[in-house]
Amino acid sequence: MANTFPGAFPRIPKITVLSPDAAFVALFSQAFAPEEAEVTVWPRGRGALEHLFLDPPDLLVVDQALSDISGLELVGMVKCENVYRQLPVALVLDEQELADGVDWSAAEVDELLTRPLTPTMLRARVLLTLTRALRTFDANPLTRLPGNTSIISRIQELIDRREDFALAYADLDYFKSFNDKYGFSRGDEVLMMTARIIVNTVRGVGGPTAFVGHVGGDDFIFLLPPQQVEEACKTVVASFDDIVPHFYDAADRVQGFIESTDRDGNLRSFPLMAISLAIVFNRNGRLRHYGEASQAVMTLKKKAKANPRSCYVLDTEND
Amino acid sequence: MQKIPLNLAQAGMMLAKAVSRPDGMAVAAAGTELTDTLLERFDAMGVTHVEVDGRPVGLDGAQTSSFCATRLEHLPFLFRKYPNDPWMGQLHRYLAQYFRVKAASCAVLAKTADAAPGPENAATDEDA
Amino acid sequence: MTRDLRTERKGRILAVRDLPTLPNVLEEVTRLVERADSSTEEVAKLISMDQVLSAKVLKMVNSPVYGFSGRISTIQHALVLLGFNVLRSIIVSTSVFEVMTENMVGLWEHSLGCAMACGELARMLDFKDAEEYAVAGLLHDLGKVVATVQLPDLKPEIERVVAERDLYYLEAEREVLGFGHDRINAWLADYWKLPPNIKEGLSYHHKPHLAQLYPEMACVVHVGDFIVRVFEYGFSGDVGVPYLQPEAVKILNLTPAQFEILLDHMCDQYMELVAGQSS
Repeated sequence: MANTFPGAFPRIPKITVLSPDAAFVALFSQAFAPEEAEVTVWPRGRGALEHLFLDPPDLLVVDQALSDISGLELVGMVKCENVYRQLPVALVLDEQELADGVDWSAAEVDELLTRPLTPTMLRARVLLTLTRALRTFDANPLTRLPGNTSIISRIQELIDRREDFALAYADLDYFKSFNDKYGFSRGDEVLMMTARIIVNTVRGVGGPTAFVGHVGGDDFIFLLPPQQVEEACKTVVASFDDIVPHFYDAADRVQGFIESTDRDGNLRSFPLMAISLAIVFNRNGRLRHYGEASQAVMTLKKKAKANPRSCYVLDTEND
Repeated sequence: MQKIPLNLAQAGMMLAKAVSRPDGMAVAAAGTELTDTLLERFDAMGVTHVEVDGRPVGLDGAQTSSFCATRLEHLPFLFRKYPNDPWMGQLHRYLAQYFRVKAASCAVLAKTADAAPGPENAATDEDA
Repeated sequence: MTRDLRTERKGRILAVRDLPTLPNVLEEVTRLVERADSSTEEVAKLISMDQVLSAKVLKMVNSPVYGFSGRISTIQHALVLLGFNVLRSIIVSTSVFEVMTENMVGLWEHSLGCAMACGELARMLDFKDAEEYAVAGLLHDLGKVVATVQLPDLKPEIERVVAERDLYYLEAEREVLGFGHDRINAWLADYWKLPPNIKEGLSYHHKPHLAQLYPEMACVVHVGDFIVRVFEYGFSGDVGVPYLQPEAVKILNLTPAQFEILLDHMCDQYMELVAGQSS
């Protein structure tokens, strides 16, 4: 699967190129076939700005040598808006301009393209930038595990390939009360610990490329071949139960519960956190769309969470 | 797995480690079940210890006794910095008593084990 | 000892990058980790016999990178959280002592012997998480290893003072270095963000009655150290029993009957180890 656009793109990627340099612009049609990328060209900067804000592309390529505004300055204007901060930007420079030094902190440039450039190099750089952007954008800020976009794309990929898989959804019971009592910092520690347990277990069972995603908060997802998932769940449950008590203060750990206020402000006791896992299966291409999988697993999750202790529930109907 | 003196090895035990001649030639591979013939052969070769699977032999009474006797012997040196401290003196005496009693009782156990009839003891009556 | 010199030496201690270990456990762990069917428990058990590998594992898992500093105090938990991939990288980057002396082997044995005594004692006293006490027992002399590696020029002097004046190794360290291995342990535990109970076990085992936060931990290591020296299993740098703090016995509520059971257990265990070693 080398040298193609990252699979997570639901449609053809849009590239906007701001450059007066015809020769440079021509490289794009040499580097990419029309069905691979939709390339829009603007010879000047200012005119493009409004369009960029209205309909941001997947990649913005800015030539430093724009006639009406410096490339860096334009990049600064775009990137300083948080809404567009994720937009990957490549700055185009002549190699000798580099010698004069560029103030990289002046604007959030993500990639550098130096003239002279070959179509091959351009293609490689663009693909890399897009792939990297997807990775960082999507990564959970705490655990750095892939987030929703990657999760959805990976599930859909397996469905499209009609590959058998088990989808496991894990979340923590009584996490909120723990956070309320001990604070977000310690709550984050528990999430990091949970992430490590899941990652190590899933990779131990399914190999180094087995997929683990962090949906957000205390929700995690992993994908494994159907025959391996139960073993992984057992190990995750056992490891979690073994380690999580150590994140409580000694007194709470010994008594086995904490006292905290519930949503209505009443003092209540809550058991030690537990992990609940809901697992659905895709066999013989039963699923068509990731939405089906995600809905099935959310329904099953209620069953898992009904049990206050750590447990896993397999979707036996469709096993 | 347990390393035991040859005279405590018995037919039926399984070798955990191969037995070789001094020149390196293997005589019996790991996993071999010991037989009386094999044991006689080892004895003739001058083998003194074999390593067997499991732990068929309880801790040798004689070994324990001598271990404890050594501990007892060394205690004064170990406690040399506290000749006049009442608490350490108490501890010293306690430990001395412990090792003395243990050494003696293990020696007794060893003697009764030696004296009991058994194939490997038949030839060593005079030693008992 | 001037403050500058002490600071300089402390700096050298904390600058430790590459702690080597003895080859036998490293080889076995390497082999075990290569096998696809090894369990975390098997590997943890083996690593728990080596103070350098144990220290590296605990240091890694308590590093801020993972996000739960100061929480993980057993090798088993550390391995679950680190995973085999990270563990492999720790092992691959661990070297072996170029020159292995009898004393060094002796120190490893002493540390293992102490770990066994501490674990046994904690279990006997029904303490939760007895494994953590064993870990503290295993690491209680780590400061000596780090000093050997980072301040090699001073080690012969310490040994000379011990030999010539029959001082405890700790006393000789304080004279020659300006501080003892218990102090080094405290620095390392802070720097590596080890859990506070482990830190207290490591830095108060010579003065357990002064431990504020985790007195049981300090007392168990103190008693464990005493026991392994009574049995002379291994070599800790000097020969002789340390002063057994009566307060330690009181704090642990250790009865004479329990003490005797402990002696029996350790007698059996040390004898087995010794028997296994003799050719």
